[in-house]
Amino acid sequence: MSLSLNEFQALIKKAAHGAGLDWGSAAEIARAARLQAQSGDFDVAAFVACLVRHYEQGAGVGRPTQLGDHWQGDGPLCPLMVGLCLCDWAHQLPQQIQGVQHPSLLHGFLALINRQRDDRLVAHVLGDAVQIQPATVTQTPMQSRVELTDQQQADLDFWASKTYAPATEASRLAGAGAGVSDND
Amino acid sequence: MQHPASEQVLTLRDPQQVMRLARMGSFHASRLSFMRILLRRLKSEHWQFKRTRWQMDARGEGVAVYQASGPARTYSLVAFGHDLPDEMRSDRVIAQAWDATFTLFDGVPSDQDIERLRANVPVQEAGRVTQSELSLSRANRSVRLWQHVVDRLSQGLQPEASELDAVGYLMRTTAVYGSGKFGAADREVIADRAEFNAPFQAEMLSVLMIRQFARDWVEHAARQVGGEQAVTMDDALARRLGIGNSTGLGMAPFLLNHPVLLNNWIQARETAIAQVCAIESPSAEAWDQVQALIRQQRLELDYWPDSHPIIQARLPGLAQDLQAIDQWMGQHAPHWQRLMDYTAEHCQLEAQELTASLILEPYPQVDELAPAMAADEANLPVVDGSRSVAETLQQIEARYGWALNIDWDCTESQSHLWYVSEEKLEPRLAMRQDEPLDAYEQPLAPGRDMAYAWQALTASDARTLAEFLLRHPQHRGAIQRLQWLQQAPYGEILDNTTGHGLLPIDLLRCKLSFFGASRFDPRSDRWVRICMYRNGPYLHEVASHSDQWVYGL
Repeated sequence: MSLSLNEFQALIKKAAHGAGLDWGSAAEIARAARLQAQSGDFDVAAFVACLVRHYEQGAGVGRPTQLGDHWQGDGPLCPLMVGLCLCDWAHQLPQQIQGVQHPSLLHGFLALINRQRDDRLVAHVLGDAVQIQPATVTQTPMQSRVELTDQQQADLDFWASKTYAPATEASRLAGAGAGVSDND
Repeated sequence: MQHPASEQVLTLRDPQQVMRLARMGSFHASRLSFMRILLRRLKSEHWQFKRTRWQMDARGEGVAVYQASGPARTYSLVAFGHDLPDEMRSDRVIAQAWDATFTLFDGVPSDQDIERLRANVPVQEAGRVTQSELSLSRANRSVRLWQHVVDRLSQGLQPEASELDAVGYLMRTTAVYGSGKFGAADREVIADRAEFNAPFQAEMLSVLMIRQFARDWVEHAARQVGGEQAVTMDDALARRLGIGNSTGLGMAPFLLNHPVLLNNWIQARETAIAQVCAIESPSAEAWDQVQALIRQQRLELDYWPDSHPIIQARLPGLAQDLQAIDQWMGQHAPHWQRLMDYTAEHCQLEAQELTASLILEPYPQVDELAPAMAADEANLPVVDGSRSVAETLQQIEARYGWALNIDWDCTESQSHLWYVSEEKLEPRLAMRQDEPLDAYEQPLAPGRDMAYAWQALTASDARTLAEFLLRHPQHRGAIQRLQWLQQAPYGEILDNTTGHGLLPIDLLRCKLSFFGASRFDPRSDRWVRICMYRNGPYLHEVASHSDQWVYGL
């Protein structure tokens, strides 16, 4: 399916919240995902794997516990949590991050940060570590649509659907404010 | 000085005064409304319109295409007519069929495009459109007026003006989706085109052409009944008809979800008001023009639907206030600030805000503020984590004192809860105590969330926001909003959006007033009917219409 960027961003935001992340974090993760998807390299399967981990092990799992020049955590780091931290620490970025799962998902967060920088930072994966370095290659052209396979769409819809309340007749009437004639 | 004072330091109305739900729920259209902005451009750039396809059968089913061509591009409204059984007609978002459905196509559609759209547009949310489509919308006939107009035209007679005025439109739209909804083009795809730089211009262009379709379609229906005897509608009578719109809770969260955009709309209007109020010696002509509009608006009240107690309670006061303003203007020398001061002291919010909009009319210079009403939301910055907790606390106290004074543990402060139902994926409102929906709550209580962030910041020993958010990630949304709003004084609604007494239609009316809507007709506290383009030009009149069309002048 071909999604508009707005649709994709809204879907990612709902999916992240559906897995238990707070709305503010979900919104920022979705902004990063949108930017990365415009470059055509957003890994939906990796993103969904992160959501599963938050849902099963507790929202916020995989956050860095040691900062400074070399970031690391108590266990494997979640790229979504690391990405949010990179945004918050954009004034004092680490040289190296140890033990990040699915490190390609950091690209969207760096793209968010790069919009406020003169140079452009990228994440280089070296074995078990990620290094944040200035880019040496030019940026790929920006796409204006996101193409999802049926499976990718279904996976994201599954997590997004956890934000929807089951409909009841009461909500259909009172919740939406009907009750007077609308055919006159 | 007869020009708005754009160079001097202006005193804008305080956000504490402006950004209250009761006042926003009393806003009126103005020169800076999106319909006015669109029509000014269409006229000044000599846009050409033509109907290039009309394939409607005797039952009114088929397809029509209208083209709008400007200096650089052509856009096409593709309209599908349907023979809808009466029992299926509903304004509700849960409807599944409509009398007519539409899309605005970017360019000139091929036959293949039309067939693709025929399979998707009539089913609306159940279908998909593409980046070639800029809007997706639908409309239902007014049962009251449609039959009257068909009956009269088919007999060779014109419809009764009183009947036209009583309803105000032949059809009402029940949704006009844009900005990437259901696969349509994102805002970014068109935002750098001059004609779509101001907000909602593609949607307003769609509605302008839908109004033409409604007229053509009713005349088609009359021809099927009356044959050779049928006549078309007189231009002057037809202009009395706008296009209706029914809007419910789906629109309500918009202003909360787009704080920077909201700021830019309000700030443009407030800047225009301040520019006009700064004129030291307005001309007698300008004063007379506004006084005449005040009188015209008194007459217009007769056509304002008053079926709901909310509006019934307001209209008599508005009529009295307009009479008093008329009298006051007749007794005083021209001075806009003194007029605004008079209304602030003596009139209800309806008359205050109507006056604020009307005093802009003699000054086309304020139209230059229109481009600033757009917002580049996709490029808003990330949280600046280097900021100190102490500075952030001060910022919250300066902007959100009202929220810090609310007891958020009190049931009444959070009596309402916004959620999205799985049925139609649309926002709804629940009473928190009656339905166990907390797990599904949408983040639409920024005052509460800021108060909670303030509490956590106060208790934290973190020095910077980066340190704070590492330990308290649940406050990211509030902190980011606070930072985005530092340059946006009118971006926040300074009222509780989940509390007892919330009237969601206040949010709807604020947004609709910026569209340029009139005749706000609340049907409950949660949905409202309005009229758009009433007294406006049809497509063949765009080149010659008066800038004061909205007042029937």
